[in-house]
Amino acid sequence: MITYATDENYNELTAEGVVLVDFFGEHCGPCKMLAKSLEELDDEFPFLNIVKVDTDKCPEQTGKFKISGIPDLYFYKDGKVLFHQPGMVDAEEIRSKLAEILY
Amino acid sequence: MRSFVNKLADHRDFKFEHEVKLCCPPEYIDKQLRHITRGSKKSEDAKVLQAGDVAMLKLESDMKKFNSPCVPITVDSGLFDEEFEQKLIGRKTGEEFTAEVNGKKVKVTVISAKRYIYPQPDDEMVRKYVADKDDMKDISTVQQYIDRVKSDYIKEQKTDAIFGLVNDLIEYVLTHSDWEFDDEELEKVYNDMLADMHSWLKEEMGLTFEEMSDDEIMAQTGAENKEQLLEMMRADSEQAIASAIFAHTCTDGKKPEEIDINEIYDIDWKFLQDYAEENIKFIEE
Repeated sequence: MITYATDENYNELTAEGVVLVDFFGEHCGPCKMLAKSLEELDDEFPFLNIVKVDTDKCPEQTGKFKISGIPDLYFYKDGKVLFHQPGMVDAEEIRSKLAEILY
Repeated sequence: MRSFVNKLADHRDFKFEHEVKLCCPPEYIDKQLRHITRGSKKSEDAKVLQAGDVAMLKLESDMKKFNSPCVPITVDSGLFDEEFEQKLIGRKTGEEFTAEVNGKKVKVTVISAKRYIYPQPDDEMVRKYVADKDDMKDISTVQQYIDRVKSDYIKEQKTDAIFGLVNDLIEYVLTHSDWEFDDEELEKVYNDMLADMHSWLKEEMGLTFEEMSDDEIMAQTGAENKEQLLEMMRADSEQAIASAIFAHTCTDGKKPEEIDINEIYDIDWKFLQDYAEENIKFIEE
């Protein structure tokens, strides 16, 4: 399931289970490419939680994570960041990281 | 630049497949069509498991991965375990069976399963989907969308083939030439790379190399530990100098000693791209 976070509900959305967080920008080309890959992952693995954070609309979380470039991915398990992947990444790399974290 | 090459291999001697077949697989087109229809997808209970179904399983065994009261698995996705997922196809909801995994028995119960159904796309859905996409403004029908998907895919296949060949040509020349590296120069390039890595880690990741654990090194660089990473960077330094000598010798006819050390990061591989394009025959299927 893909959910759009706000500064207020970010912690709640990332507190449980395996969560893939995507810090993105509306006018960022690579972010749009990554968005397609994330949609495909969501179609294939609907039990996965994907949280999208628009860096323009969530300044607090963007500042907290010191996001200096987008896209920027964080892999969570039960509220803890297990892996950080800055920059553009292909779907295969995301899948292999998810396999490690999910199972 | 005091490193030099005793004998530079000729990239034209590299043997490769000149004919490359291009084809956009139907599964890829289906996947792209789902971007249009995913907003209207529906789910239903799956009675008999097939590829793509999402099954909730109870797994009992003495292997940690295969021992869980409730694990979600997309059948035939390969994310959990390719071989095990194949054994799920044809099983019914509620069924209990024993599967063999790596020579060990796993008791499997299919608790439930969902299947996602995507509607047939129509022109109206296409128009809605492309409305905010500048590069698709000229598309208004399903057929036009499919044609674009195919042509983009084939374009990408061509680019991949050309860049793949360029990489092979570089590797061929680097491994078949006789290089002599200057220690001082290698040290300078290595130290530059090290400094770049330190600043990337600090600025992008908020990490310092000294404080990084082996796990962090592995996650960020693919190396098993710091020693291996530094060894890889030593090898990269040689490769950077050799690449510069190769490229500058072929493009502007410079001799190795005429190449400024700062030019090693300013390499133009266009001559290899042109060579690749001229020598690959693309066949669309």
